[in-house]
Amino acid sequence: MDKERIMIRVDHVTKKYRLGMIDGASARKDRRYRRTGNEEYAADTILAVNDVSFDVTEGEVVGIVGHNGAGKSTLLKMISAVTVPTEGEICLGGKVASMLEVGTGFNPELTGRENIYLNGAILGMKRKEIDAKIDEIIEFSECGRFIDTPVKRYSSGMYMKLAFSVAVNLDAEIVMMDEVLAVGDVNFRNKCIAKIMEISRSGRTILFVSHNIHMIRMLCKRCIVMNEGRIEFDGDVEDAVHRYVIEDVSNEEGRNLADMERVLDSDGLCHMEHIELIDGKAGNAYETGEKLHFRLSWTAEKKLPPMQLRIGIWTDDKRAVGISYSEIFDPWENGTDALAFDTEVELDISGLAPGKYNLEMIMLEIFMDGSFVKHDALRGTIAFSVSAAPGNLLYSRYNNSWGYFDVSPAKIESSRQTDGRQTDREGQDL
Amino acid sequence: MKYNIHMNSSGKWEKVIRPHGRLLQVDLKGLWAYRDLVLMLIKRDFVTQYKQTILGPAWAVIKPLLTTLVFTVFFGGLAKLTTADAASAADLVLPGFLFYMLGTVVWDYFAAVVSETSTLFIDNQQIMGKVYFPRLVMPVTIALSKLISFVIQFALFIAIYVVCAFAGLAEVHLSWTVILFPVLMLELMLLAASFGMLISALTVKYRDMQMMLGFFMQLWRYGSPLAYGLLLIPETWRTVYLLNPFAPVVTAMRCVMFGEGFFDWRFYALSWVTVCALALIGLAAFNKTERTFIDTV
Repeated sequence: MDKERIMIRVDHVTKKYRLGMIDGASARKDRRYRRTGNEEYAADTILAVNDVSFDVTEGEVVGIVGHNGAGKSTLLKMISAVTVPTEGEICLGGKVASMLEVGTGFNPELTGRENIYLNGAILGMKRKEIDAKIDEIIEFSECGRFIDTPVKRYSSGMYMKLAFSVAVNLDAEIVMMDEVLAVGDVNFRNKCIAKIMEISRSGRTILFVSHNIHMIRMLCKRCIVMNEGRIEFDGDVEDAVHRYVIEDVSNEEGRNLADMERVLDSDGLCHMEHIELIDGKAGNAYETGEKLHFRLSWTAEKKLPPMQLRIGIWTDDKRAVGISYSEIFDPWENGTDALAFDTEVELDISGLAPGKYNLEMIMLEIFMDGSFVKHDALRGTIAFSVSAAPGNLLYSRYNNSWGYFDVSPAKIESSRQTDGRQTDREGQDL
Repeated sequence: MKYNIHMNSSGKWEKVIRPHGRLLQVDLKGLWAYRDLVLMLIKRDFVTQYKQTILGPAWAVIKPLLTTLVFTVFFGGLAKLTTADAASAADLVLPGFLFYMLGTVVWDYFAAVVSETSTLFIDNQQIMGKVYFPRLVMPVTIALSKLISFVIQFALFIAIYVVCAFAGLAEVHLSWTVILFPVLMLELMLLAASFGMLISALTVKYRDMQMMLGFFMQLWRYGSPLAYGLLLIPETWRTVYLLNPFAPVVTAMRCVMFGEGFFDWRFYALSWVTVCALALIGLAAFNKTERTFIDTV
């Protein structure tokens, strides 16, 4: 391709919103501002989108991530022309279908079929186009039996399924989605993802806003990270994901825990000061099948009953993989009065799949009835990576469907023949 | 990132979204492209309007009949207000019922379009805040959708008129001018839509206008020759009275329907001038509001 066609050009776009209520007081203030030009009477404003520029070429699937209030949805609203920018301009090279919210314009009194036509028309489809696709849409929605029932009788799941089906079956060159995949059950969601992939393969341009980083990773190659109205990063999705979610907790010299913010509840009787991996691995990098050793330095307010460590393993994009309860230990069993200890721990991570992980560390006391009390708790204490050991034949992994944990190799105990066939050599079993 | 601003104006884009647009633009192409949406919305309005009522669409005719009855009893029977528009028409034999019914049917359509158009941004913020379609689709839909019940009511009016004529209760002075009725209707549609659009733009930021509108419409109804004939207005005040664009139109309607009444080219032409001016103001206000209403609604 000698020249890529630009489908979306966002050119120095800014969107300003005013804060506060609109009432008699604000009207008086506005009037005073217009008359005097005194900044004191100007309305408080916020730049929801601040001087943003980017291009999207045909067939690209671009993810947009950012924390709440970063300006993602405002940006999509402007691209779909629901509102206009305060400054700058947006140029579009094709018809836009926005799925800003699934089910927009559904009327509860109308039947599923009528709503498909209505919703399709709102999204810019012609009646003939809908006629041609209605069977496909109904089948995709899995609502076939209820299609001639008013949608107010639908369950909320069915409602969303039907709405999504209309939206994904649109023929627009540019498709925009804002958190639309939070619908339906797991099966339906997978179907939707497959459909979106199909859309992107068909050369259509997709803008995809989501908090679900896995979805972004799966669907997009390019990703834009927004923060406080500005583009913080625009480029390869892996780099973007690292910027957006991944806690950079890797630290070869260990990590000082004393001043980390405690977000989890605990009674504070213990205080973790420092954690360090003691396997001497460069970059905290392990290979599959290896075990991990760390040293935890901690202090206590007073002597405490025997306790346990609960070690949670998390992926770098904040998914819990599993936990390990340590053996019960009692640092005071030799009668010491010390209140500061270094505890060395071996953690068997040989089953962990290649990937990036970090450890959650909780010191707790478990009572006979199964209840427990946390003495100190921290998330994201230290990070490490696991890569495939050399000689591992499988060089590709699909964590989304394979998970993060490899159960130790299944042992083949026997294989007995169950039909009557014989080999040439009489009487010999296989 | 490279930017070449000059490329933007070359017209290679399907659509360019800018902070400001032209105020008096009517996106006819866009409206035509979304004609199916207009039809679907009209259908939706019609289907859902009488859901979960026992009498269903019969309400479309019951309501104006009741109003007409009230007018006939109170304004005609008790207050004995004149139903004549011009002194010469005094010899026209016309049951008051027909007079009031035509006025009621026309006014009900007019008022329904105004009130629904005036809140269209607030009523439809769910849809309009999420998806773009030419915003003029909404007023067009409202004006057309209300026409359905108008046509039903008007047909009933015609039926009663015909029955009265055959029973000898009314004289029929129909002339070719009756074919001008749709033109008068069109003028009312335009007036209602323009006025509604103006109010809709004004209610987005401050809802006060909405509070005022109900009272204003009441005033407008009784300030128009609907419950009485034009003859009730003293000669000296008639010029001022006829500045109300609704008045010359409704008297012209009676003129073409009943064959006699009041029609003055000057006032009628003036009503068109007022309607067109209001249409331009309404359109400009609507276009200005439509672009960012979702930020303030």
